[in-house]
Amino acid sequence: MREEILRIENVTRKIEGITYLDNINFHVFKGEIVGLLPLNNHGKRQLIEIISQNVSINFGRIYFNEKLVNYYEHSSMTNNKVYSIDKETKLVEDLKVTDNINVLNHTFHDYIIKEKKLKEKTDELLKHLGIEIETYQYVSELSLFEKTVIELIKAVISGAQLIILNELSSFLSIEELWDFQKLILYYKNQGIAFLYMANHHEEVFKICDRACLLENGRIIKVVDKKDFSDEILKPYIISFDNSIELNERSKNKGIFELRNFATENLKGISFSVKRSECITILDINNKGIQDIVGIFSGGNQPIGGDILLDNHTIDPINANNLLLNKVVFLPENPVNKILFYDMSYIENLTFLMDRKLNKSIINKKIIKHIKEEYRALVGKDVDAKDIRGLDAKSLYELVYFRVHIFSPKVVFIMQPFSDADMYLRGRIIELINKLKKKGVAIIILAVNISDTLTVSDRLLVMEDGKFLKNYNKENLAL
Amino acid sequence: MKEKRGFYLFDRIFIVLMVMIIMLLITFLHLISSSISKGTYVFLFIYTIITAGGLYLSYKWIYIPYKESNKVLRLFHEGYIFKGVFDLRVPFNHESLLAFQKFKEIIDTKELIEGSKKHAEYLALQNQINPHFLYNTLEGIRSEALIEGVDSIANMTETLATFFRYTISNVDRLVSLEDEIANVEDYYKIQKFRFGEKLDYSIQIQADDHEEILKARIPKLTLQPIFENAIFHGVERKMGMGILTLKVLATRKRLIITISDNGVGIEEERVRTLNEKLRGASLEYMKEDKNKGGIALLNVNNRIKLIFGDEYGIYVYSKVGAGTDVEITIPLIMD
Repeated sequence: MREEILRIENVTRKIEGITYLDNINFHVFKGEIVGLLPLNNHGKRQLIEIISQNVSINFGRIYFNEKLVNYYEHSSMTNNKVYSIDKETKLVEDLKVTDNINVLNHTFHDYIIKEKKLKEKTDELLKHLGIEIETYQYVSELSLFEKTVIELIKAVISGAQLIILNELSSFLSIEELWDFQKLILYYKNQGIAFLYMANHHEEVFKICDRACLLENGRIIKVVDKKDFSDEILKPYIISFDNSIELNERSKNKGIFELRNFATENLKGISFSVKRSECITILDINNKGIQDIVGIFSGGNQPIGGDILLDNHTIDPINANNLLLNKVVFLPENPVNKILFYDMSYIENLTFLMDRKLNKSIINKKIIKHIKEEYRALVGKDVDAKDIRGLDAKSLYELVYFRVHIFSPKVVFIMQPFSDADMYLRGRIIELINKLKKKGVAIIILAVNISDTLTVSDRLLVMEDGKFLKNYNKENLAL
Repeated sequence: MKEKRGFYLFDRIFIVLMVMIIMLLITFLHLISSSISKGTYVFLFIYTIITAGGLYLSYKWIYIPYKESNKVLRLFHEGYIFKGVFDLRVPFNHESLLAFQKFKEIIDTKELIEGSKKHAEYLALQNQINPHFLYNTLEGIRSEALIEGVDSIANMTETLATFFRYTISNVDRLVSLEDEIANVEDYYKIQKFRFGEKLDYSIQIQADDHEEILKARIPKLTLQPIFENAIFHGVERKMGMGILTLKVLATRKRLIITISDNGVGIEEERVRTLNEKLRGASLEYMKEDKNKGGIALLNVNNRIKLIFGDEYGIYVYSKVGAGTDVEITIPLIMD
């Protein structure tokens, strides 16, 4: 008989009249990795919440370890033995690795911290797991991958029986993900259950024993490992067809080029992008592209090499000068980073216009024209005074149309699909295609391929700051 | 509904409590404003602590359980729960507890006798058809077929006879999962004569404890109606091969049986309403059109919930073009 760690039965959860979980049914066995593919993100956060803590629910029952812990009549607000791992680490950055693992832990009851003993214990554990991390290091000195590994170990030591992994591939590179999955499999064999949330079924199929599809706060399909195939998911997912006819590219014109470009982690890379072309730089171990991000955020300086735009060198290479030369950078999760929530939609949309028009105050007539032009594309969102009320899709549209209106020559986009559900990813693809159509050269920086290939014409694979391979569109189709 | 006469009992209690709180507050204000001496401060301090404690206690002990019980009664009224209403965490008083238990007894016996319509239909069928006559006739056809050398007719008649015998006898009791599966297989064989190669069936039982799981007890005629549903509402209308799968999993406390078909599937909104109906036990479905799909599911679901409780039953996953999975959950009962 299999042991059931978690069972969610007919659970409905409404907050302020919105139904986030709608009669949801779901279970996880001991030592099982269950994949959760959210087709849209509605209800995902609330699901994690009710699994972790016994908060009030409108209807249904929740069993943990085959014991009723929460039901429609009474919710105790206690925590379950669940740990959730995502991009935002829950470790204390200013404490050492050993303290994070052993001391900040419900199972630690000693009054005196015996540092040496704890270090020995932790070192032995890490050695056993084949992990090389100095345990006296402060957490702030660790890489994101190392922090994630330490969090997993901490979760197990603190007695978690179910670990929720939230979109690992949006912050771990392919290589890191492989290593991390080995660790997951090790703990699975120890009887720990995992809820593996990911946006791509390929990722889920590789490691999970079962996969559940979540849509509008309901599980709409459960697939067993032996039935894992693209065919079975076909009726549930939308495919991103990139059949939009693009303008014929004018050859040798409008080229953006990096020549022997070197930073701390980039070992003299060279590549060029034409107008209306989109390339993806896939960084297998997530080192090189962080330096490119660093240049745009002003935290990094190139050591050598040139950036050429239309055969003119851009000098000096810094964020401001790049923007003046119409090279724009979109960070990961741009809606949280580059929108101004105290400004109206139209103010956000025309934010870069002053540079284009070379005026600090934009004529009312121009604003009116812009409003009319974009009303056709985004509808009445354009009149929004407060953009807090808009949904994720509208906010992404705003970000991309702000770039669109500025008509840059080159756009760098960091991980465009991170945190986006299936429907949003479809929209982002359309938005990127719109930029391509306008003649903008696009460079996508990514640690996982995700949907980038549907928009890319070329894929450059980078490892340790050097390009390994260059695939063109024909190879990609294979 | 009976006209409401004046205040409800709990409204009255609430009003009295409010009056008392206001009195306490007035006393408190009076004490602060009137005399100033060390003694009054000490008294005021103790008075405040006791009042605050009393208020907290009444919130925790009275208000929250009252709200919870109200919610349970409302859920019962809306048809979400059925048996759950008899197990209030904090009963109103001893007499109401006894009264609720009495209701439970009355409903239990009544439901088990005539609770679901399908059940009654079977009972009627049992009275109308003389089983001996039916078996004898079928046996006669079988021997005739054997003499004539038509093995397929002989096999079909035998399967039909076994199937009828199982369906007609003793509908009330729990049977072993093995018997239920055998009945489903008989049913499949009969349908196979009609559908031929168009119909395929497979069974997967959790590898460990295979033998033990087959001995588990489940209500009779739980699986066959769902199979019938899968064939007639799923596979029959579909072009190409129809595949039916029966999957059995067991945890320490419950049995999870999934019956899947790759048929036409159900529209999203209908799946939603169907699952909403399946969430509670109600006899509403009897009023609906008999030929509409889903009645068999509601019938089996009702029987499961009435016999074992609200936490067991059926849940449906379906998508147009992809097929339907029906998940049945019942407690694991050995012997």
